[in-house]
Amino acid sequence: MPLNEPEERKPSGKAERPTDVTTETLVADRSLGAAPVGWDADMAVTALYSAHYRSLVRLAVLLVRDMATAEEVVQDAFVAIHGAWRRLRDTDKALAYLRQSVVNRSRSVLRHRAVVEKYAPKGMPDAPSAENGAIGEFERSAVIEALRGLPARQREALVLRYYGDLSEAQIAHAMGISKGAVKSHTARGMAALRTSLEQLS
Amino acid sequence: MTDSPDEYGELLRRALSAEANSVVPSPDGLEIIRARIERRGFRWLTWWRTGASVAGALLVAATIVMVVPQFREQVIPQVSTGTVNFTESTPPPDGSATSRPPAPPQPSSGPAQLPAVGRSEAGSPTLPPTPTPSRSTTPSTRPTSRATPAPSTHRPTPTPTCPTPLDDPPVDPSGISKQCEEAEATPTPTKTRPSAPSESPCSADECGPSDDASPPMPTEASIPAPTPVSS
Repeated sequence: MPLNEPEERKPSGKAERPTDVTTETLVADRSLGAAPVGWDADMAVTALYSAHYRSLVRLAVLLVRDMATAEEVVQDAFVAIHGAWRRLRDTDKALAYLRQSVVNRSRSVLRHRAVVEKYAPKGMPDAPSAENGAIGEFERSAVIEALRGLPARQREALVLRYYGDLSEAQIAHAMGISKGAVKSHTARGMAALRTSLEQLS
Repeated sequence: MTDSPDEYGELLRRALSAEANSVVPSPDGLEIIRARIERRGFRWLTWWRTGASVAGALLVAATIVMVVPQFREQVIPQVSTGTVNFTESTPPPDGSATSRPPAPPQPSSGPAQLPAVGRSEAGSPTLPPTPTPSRSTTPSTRPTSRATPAPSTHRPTPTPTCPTPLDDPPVDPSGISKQCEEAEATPTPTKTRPSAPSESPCSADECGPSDDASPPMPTEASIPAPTPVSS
């Protein structure tokens, strides 16, 4: 691992990285460009929805592990940006605003869920879906399960880095922490993930 | 050793992408967002309405608080002034009783009629109260009543004693004097007669020209007289 990494360094293995639509939309703000500058809140929300809603929902699903909750989190983020559109100084950073809002709301959901699960009776563990069983991607499910076992900050850092393909600066902005903390959370999360996957294998 | 994190990183990337691709958001997300935005707007509208209603209530209360004291301040002085005027304008009413205190010294002297008359002529405003007691109690006050009615010829003072003479005097003063003499003969005005004759210093001719002057002296005597004549 190189010592002096640039701030905008992306995770290694760019060339091998699969080019997903979700990754592209999460990384780049080019989809909106400068168009939202003169738009009103309704037009901006519509454009942002068509460009980033799906990717944001998927990001939220990876963070909160619940489809309905993920959609609700993202919808709340859109409602919030609609209300704050006039106060948004740089409309080009609308996606960053949405991403940060999704991360913060996902964190709040997880915090609330932790409190509920702490005092609620334990339910049955989630059974793997038939599709997962049919595909037989044991590796995938194992990674996802291992990821769910990580602390929230480490999970956020890993998801934003390996799914959102964000730089450390962007991750730090989205999580509201320093870049050093991002590095720390990422390294610890990867170490914990590796340990859990080695145990499974 | 350095490759292992990359391997796990790549594994994690593929797993996350596959997991994310399996997620298909509901198609009505935009409608839900718009509905939430509208609800949020309605919520603000509700707060605005609440605030406006509270502000309106406060405004109304403040207006009432500001107006009522002024109204009281306006009403109280008006009432006081109105009472004074009322006593002045209407000599017969009891309101004159308040002005009696100045009068008593006058009646104390029986022949004080002349000074009383002089005063009435001199100060018309103070006189109005005096006329009322004059009719009922003392003759001295009646002369004062003469002075006061002078500005207003149709004042009621003559009316109670003799309403007809007011219109009649111009017609025939001599007849009025006769009527007064006849009235003296009639028993009905006897109660008031004693005061009338005492005041009678003015002759019948004097009573005639001044309609108001007639009430004190001739009025009492003339009251009964005209009525039978007219009848």
